[in-house]
Amino acid sequence: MSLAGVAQILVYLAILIAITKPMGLFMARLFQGERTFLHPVLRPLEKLTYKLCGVREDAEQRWTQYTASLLSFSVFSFLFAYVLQRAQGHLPLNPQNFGTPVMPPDLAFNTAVSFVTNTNWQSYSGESTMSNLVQMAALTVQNFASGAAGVAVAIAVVRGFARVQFKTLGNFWVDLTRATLYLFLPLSLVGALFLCSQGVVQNFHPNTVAKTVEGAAQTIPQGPVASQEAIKMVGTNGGGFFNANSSHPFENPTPLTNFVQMIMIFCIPAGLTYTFGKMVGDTRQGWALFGAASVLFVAGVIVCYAAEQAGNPMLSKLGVESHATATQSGGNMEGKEVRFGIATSALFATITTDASCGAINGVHDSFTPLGGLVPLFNIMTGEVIFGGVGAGLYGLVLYAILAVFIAGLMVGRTPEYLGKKIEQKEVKMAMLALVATAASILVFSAISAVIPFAKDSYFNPPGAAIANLTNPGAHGFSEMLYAFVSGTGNNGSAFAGLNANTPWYNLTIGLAMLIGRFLFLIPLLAAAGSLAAKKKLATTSGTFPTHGPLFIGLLVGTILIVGALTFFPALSLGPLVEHFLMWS
Amino acid sequence: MLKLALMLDTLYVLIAVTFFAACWAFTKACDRL
Repeated sequence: MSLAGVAQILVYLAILIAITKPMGLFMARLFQGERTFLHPVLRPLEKLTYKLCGVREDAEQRWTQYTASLLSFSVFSFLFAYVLQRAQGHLPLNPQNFGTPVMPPDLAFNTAVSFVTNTNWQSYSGESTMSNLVQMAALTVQNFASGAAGVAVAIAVVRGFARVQFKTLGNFWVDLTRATLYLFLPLSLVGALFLCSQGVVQNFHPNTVAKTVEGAAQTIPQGPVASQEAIKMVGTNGGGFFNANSSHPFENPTPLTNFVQMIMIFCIPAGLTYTFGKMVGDTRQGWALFGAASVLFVAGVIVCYAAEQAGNPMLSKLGVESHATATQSGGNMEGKEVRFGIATSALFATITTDASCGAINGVHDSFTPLGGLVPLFNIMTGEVIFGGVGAGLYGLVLYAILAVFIAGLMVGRTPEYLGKKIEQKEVKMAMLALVATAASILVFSAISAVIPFAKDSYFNPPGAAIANLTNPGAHGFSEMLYAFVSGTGNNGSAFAGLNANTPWYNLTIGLAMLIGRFLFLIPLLAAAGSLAAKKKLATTSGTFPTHGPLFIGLLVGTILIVGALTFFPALSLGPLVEHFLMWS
Repeated sequence: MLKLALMLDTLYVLIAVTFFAACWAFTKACDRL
């Protein structure tokens, strides 16, 4: 590991710590209905939105009503995105004349689900499939809406702990509107202008055809990239305008944009930990969650960076220089951009999978087995290492419930968290969320590993589901496992190497995305509804403190143990066996 | 060809809508737990 590489990681961490409090404070004020510095400009727009949509700002909802609002919003979002994709050939803003045949029903289903669930898994190649209208009205709009829905749910879960003997968790439509107007729109606007200043394209031009030095014709895609790029990062969506995502120079042109994009991914999830502390009346509780996430984040970066810098011993045996020198980076540079290097590629891969972002600036499939295991394991934890916008916080809270439950079992005392008794219902709900997501990953991966299809069948034209893999053996299994981990985790990054654009994978990964989103957050909202109705217990000498290093250690241990116990057998068949084979 | 495409559209939309309906049933079940 180089000094410059380590310094970049430390600077990143320092900036993250610095922005956590102001971001968290702003969001706490916003969602508690207090005035912020953006109110003079945006409050009239907020009121107009409520008026047009018939929303009563002061009408509170029970957790079931809150969930019903979320589900109905998601159904209509899905239908809107689906229809727009299927009809793109008959709609304007389509300079490339993309028709309906490039967007078959299974792909439209997968893509609509993908953007509604904040996953942004892309079975399609944006520049050769989607019209500008679809990119903007379906995909970019969903980048805002699905991110805002995630934040709304997280805030409702926080209210579950903050409120005492309440039957309600807030109003979904109000939370959704505030998250979109005050949070995502301003951040995206500033982010898009910054990206434009660095060279990210933003236009409605048809593709440019250029003549190369050798005389060949090269098609250079154009489009409204910067506007999608900004919300893609801030909303931890990750779906790029181009197939190459943030490794494409039109999406991520300079090392500075690369660094800022990484900050954009974590700014809201990290800030939400402070918002949590502020809203429950003890900011130390928020810093404890921040601390646990930071420990896991730093550990992931170190393992990934070290593995990538160590390179491939099989190449070293052939005489390839794998140590960093003044003229080359050494290590494993396959699939990485030279302008970003190993350190920021490893950092980007860790951040994008800690959060549910899924943007990539290097090919995870080309990482070393251990380097690739880090993104895979990050998503397997449920993306609670800061996590996605909102989703990370409610995932962390789920693990906190489990951690205090385990601590309670160890000392023989009814567990409490933030003065609320953690009883049967909360633990049942936490387990339901964990079991549903783990089952989705493991069952879909297992079926895909063995299911036979006839060649040229509708569901999988290449034949058996494993015929879509580029690599055989352990690496091929990792490619398939990663697809379902990424789908269920609502991450959206691809290991690559798997041709997922067939009806089988479009359907199963689509279902995995739905399960990972809704069967995770519904139990959490149920637990929040139950907690909000409870009394707050007084702190006594027997109360387990949940703001100190002991709790942070317990929380980190719970996340690692649950993740490892659930997925160790699958990881053994993939990256672990590949690692030992490489070094044998 | 158009008929097949319409059938497939119906199938995939139905799958999604059924999932969301099942989510609502799951919500009610969680409420009763």
